[in-house]
Parts: sequence; C-alpha cells; structure tokens
Amino acid sequence: MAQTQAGSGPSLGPGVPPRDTQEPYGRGKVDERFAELEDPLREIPDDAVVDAAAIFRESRVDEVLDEMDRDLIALQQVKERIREIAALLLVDRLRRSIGLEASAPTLHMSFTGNPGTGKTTVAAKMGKILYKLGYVRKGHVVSVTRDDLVGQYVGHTAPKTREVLKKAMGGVLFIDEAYHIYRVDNERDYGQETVELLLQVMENERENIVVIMAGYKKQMDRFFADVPGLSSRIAHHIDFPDYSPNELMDIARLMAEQQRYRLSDEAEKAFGDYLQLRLGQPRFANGRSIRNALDRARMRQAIRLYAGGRDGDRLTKKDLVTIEADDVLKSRVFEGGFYREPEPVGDDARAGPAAHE
Amino acid sequence: MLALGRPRMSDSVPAERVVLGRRDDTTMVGFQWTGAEPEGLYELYEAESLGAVWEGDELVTYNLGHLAHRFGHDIDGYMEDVD
Repeated sequence: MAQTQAGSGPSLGPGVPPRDTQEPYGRGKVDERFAELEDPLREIPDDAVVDAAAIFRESRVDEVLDEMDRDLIALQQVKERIREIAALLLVDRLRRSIGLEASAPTLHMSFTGNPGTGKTTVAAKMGKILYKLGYVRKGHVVSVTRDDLVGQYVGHTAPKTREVLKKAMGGVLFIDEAYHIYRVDNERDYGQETVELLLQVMENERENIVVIMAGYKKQMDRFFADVPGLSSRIAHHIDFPDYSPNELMDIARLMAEQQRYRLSDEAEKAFGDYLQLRLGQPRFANGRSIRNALDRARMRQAIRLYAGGRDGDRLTKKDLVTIEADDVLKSRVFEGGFYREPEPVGDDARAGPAAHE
Repeated sequence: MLALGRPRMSDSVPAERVVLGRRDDTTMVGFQWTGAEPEGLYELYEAESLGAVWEGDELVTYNLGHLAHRFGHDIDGYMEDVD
C-alpha cells in the first residue's frame, strides 16, 4: 500500500483537492497567501450563529466521556485533561462550521504512570473521541512495543516500523514503554531508525495519525531528553497517578460487578486486608493487580462450589455470583508466602506479572 | 465447472449497498471511514481502485465481499491472474 507523500494530504475523492499538510513557513509566502485570501474574520459577521448544541449532539462525544467516567475509577485529573482536549476540538469544529478554518492541531500525547493506572484504556477512549470529533478517519488503536517496531538486523527496522504505521493510519498508535525504542548508550541500536521515522510521521502526517507514547514517568522524561525534537512534537503530557487503597477497592467492586460477581461483606473486608498487604509487596500493578486478585478469587470460589456440588449441595444463583471471604483469604499473600523473586531493577521495579497473587 | 474471476451476483439477489465512508467538510480530516471497510484499508484511491464508487458524499460498494477479497490479495502483494 502506498503511503501518503509528505507535503500533500490524502485524496478526498473526485473534485476535492488534497489538503496541504505542510504549510509554507516563509514569512513572505505567508503574507502572499493572506493577501490572496479573503479574511474570514472580516467576511464572517460577528453575530454569525453557531449551532453548538446540534454539533455537540451530533458528535456524541459526551457518550464516550460518560463511558470513561463510568469505566474508570478516580483519575479525576486525567479525565479533566481529556475533557479539556475534547472541548478544544469541539470548539475547533464549531469554528470550522462557520468557516473559521485553522490548521490541524498537534494531538500527539504522552501518558506517564505506573503499570495498571489506565493508560491503555484511556488511549482507546481517546481514539473514539478523536473519531467522533472528526480528527481521525478511523479511530482504532494499534498498541505496540519496541519489538513490533525495531528489527534485529540491518534493513529490518524501517519496513517493520512502516508496516505498523500503515496499520495505525487513521487512528491512534499507542507505543507502550516507548523509551525502550531507543537505547542512547548503544550507537548501533536500530531503534534510532524507528525514532527518525516516528518524528517524520508525527510532523508530516498529523491529520492521519495520533501517536501516544506511554511508560514510567522517569524513563519517559529521560527518553524525551535523549531524543531532541520529540517532546516538542507532543502537545499533551498526561500523568496517571497511582490509585489509593479506597480507589483500588472501588475498582475491585466495579470489576466484580462487570463480571456479574459480588463480594460479600466479609469478602470486602478480607479484600481490604489483602490490599493492605499486597500494596507493601513488590510488583504491584494497580488495576491490573486487582484484576489478577479477583481472577484468583473467582478460581477459589469455583473450586469451593465444585467441591460442594460434588457432595450434593444445591447451588443457587446467589452461590454462583458471591465471592466469600474464604475465597480471598486463601491467597498466599495472607500466608506470608507471596512469591518473591530477586528484587527487580530498573523498569520492572513495580511492574511485572503477578501470577501468584 | 468452477467460475473463476470476478464474482457475479445472481439477478434475483439484490446487491447490498454498503457505505464505506463519508465526506464531511465540517471535520478536520474531511472524510471518515464508517468501519464497514476491510481492516487495513485506508487510502481512498485504493478503495476506488478496488471498485468503490462515490454517490454524493458517500463512498459505497455494492459488493463488499469482492472488494475485501481483492484488498486481501493486494495487501499480500499478490496480483490476480486475469488471463
């Protein structure tokens, strides 16, 4: 598939000229262009009415924002930032509806925070928001890591990166642990080629792709410092904080509810105790650890019900949906037997699989 | 005998009109895909070369299966033998 050439936007069909994605920046050229154009600020009367309600309704962006509020516990600052971005884009669309055109805003973002704080989930919502507001053509999210972008031998990296970019065209390219792409201490690292291609696309294909780079804040800051020109191409830097114990409890309730389960009162108390212990142990990954813990509790509930059923117990719906305290308390976390690996270093200090929860 | 080449629809089967995308000048990108298009199809000229047509502001196909089939061959770098 041929890629859109830099400097000319994609075709919009017969009779519609391609949009310029690269504006000439020379002062003389800009003046020349403005002299030829009618000034929309003069031509459009100040009292021209914008049907804001209709455009807002048609975009149905509030559906995604409400969904985000429902599906994501806490993260008030993150939600606020997403709402601000949505508002900016909506106003841009209102301006466009009365002829006040502006160039495509830079929408590339960086999401920083520990594992399980909701970065991937918010990226998926962002794809939907950008689609509903008309800033991308498809709104899908392609999630990748270094292995998907960087090759292992000479000449392997560029086609690999281009293939990923092609898949992400019209949507969001979400690069998890983006700082792994480029190893500054290794001059022969092929990741540099990927970075160069990304920088080029982030600048020249702003109407075709939104890049979201994600990872731990400290490593991302170092990555931006190591790659000149990257941070300035990212308009929105959003930090995802860790969840508090109460928020984690809310997440557990929500996740259980979404899977048609219920924690009994005793199970809730046990889960609270579980959280206190688990938070002090290594490799805690916020929402992801909660999901793992619930999965393990479900498994123990299944074993309990299976044993009861085999002994002739009659099972009711209540039995099938209720997670009891025992299902939580049998976790190895309470036995002090939580699986401990040698203390991880660097990136994996807090992350990683929590299979033994 | 097997019929090869472009699939044909029986006269008795009405062709289904599928909207692949819409032009909308109020959006920043000017055109948006509806999600009915085959996965990976992005460029409009490519959709047109695969048989999609413009009807007003809508890019449509009356044979999505055939369009998807041809696109599948194109992305695999395989050209159909037209002999």
